[in-house]
Amino acid sequence: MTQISAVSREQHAGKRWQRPASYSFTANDAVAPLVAQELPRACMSMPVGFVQTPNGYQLVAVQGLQSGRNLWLAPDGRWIGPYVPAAYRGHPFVLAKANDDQHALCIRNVGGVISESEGEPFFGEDGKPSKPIQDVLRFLELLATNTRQTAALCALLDTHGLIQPWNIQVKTGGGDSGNERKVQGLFRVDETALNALPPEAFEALRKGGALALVYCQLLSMQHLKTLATLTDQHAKAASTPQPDGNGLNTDLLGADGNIRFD
Amino acid sequence: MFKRKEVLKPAQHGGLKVLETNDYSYARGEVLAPIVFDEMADIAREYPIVFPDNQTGLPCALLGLEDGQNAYVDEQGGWQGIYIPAHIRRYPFMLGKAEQAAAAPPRGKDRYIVLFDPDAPQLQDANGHPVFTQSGELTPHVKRRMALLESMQKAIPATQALVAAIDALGLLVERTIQVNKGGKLTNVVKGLKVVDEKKLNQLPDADFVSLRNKGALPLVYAHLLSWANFRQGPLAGKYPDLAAKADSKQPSFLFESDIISFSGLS
Repeated sequence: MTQISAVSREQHAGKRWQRPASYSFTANDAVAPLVAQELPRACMSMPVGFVQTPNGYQLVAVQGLQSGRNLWLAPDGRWIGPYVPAAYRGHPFVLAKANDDQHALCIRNVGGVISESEGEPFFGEDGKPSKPIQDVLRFLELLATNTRQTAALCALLDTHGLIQPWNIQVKTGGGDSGNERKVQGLFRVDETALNALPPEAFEALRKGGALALVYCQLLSMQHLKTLATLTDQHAKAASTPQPDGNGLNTDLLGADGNIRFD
Repeated sequence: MFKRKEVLKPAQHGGLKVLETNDYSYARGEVLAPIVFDEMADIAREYPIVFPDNQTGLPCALLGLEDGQNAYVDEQGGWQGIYIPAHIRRYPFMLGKAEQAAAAPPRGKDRYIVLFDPDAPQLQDANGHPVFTQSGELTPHVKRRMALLESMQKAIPATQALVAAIDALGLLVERTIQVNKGGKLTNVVKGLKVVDEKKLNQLPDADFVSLRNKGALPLVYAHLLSWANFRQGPLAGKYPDLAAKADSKQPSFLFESDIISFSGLS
């Protein structure tokens, strides 16, 4: 059970926190929220789509072909691929809504993140938040602003009827013996509806800043192939005995830490 | 790649054999590959798309930044990428326009003949697939290669029209790339045009809608996004200074926003 507590002088003065040593905290995320501002980067390597939430459509990176599985995570906790969603880069910190629309910086206290002696101090000797804490707070505030803007863009697309279910069938395992996987619950831009949009509505999208998002999403869909390949590589890695229990699985990774396709 | 071109004729080239190989050494000297609309999305994922000042009128995948040095071909001749541009894959064959004299084609239709590079390494191996059957027909194997040539040829006019539409609105500007190695300027690449994003954003509504109606927007956005391939992939590997420069704008806690700016957001 993850405990989330607000960062405060009372609780954290004199204490330290540790940056995550691996991305294993993302293991169960089949999707990760994205903001429009990171889309040009994310869509170059990951499939991007939408999921439905009580507050409307949310922009996400597709990370798995089944729930509870993040294929971008290597068995040794490294991130496979060139892009890590911003949503993960503030870890172990989160912003929580406090009173009066104020946000409070909180920390997820899992697995000894908070320590007396190891890692970065929460507060400096002058009693002020330390530089890394100030940086992460600024980052999370920016991310929160971008998240609100992104939600508005998704709502704009929805208003114009441009979001449709994305029925995904991916073949894994290769050859004729391969498995067809169906992925449900994802949504995509309706390209036919986009092309049929009257000029005024199209201009509204352009003025609203939604067009870049639209084309990034459309371009990103081809990366589904990458997820199928990753599924196969994970399966291969799991069935290959490791030399010892702690052995890094380097099969999945090239020398530069990126996936290789041979 | 195409140093010599000869017209493929069963009478003369009956014994020709073509080897399918993963050795792309023949493309080691290529720095630009013309692309067609159909492969644009696959190209954008791995190559910068540019609009060079050349005769093809086609957008190109940028493969290298120094003369004769294709960053996507490694020392062993392997191709460092998932998608290989059709222009590279079609070699040693290409289509050429037939002379009009002989059999006059129906009005408005061009006829094409198959050309090939007789010096291509793929054509020098006795283990290759025969190009012609004994009766002088193309073999099924080579027919598949011809299908690639045909689908490229069909897509060329439409792709050229997209580039022309973008250019006609004055959106293309020349960009110079400075190549640094070990902190020293080693080369300057000129003659490449790119879409000026500011001009795109300031385009009057009517012009923007016309661009959209012509179907040019996917190419525009794919091109803008493809600039990220200076930061990742073989070009970044070969020219780390350039990649670092492209990356320096991005402190670890800030967002990348220089590829496509979402400045329209309020």
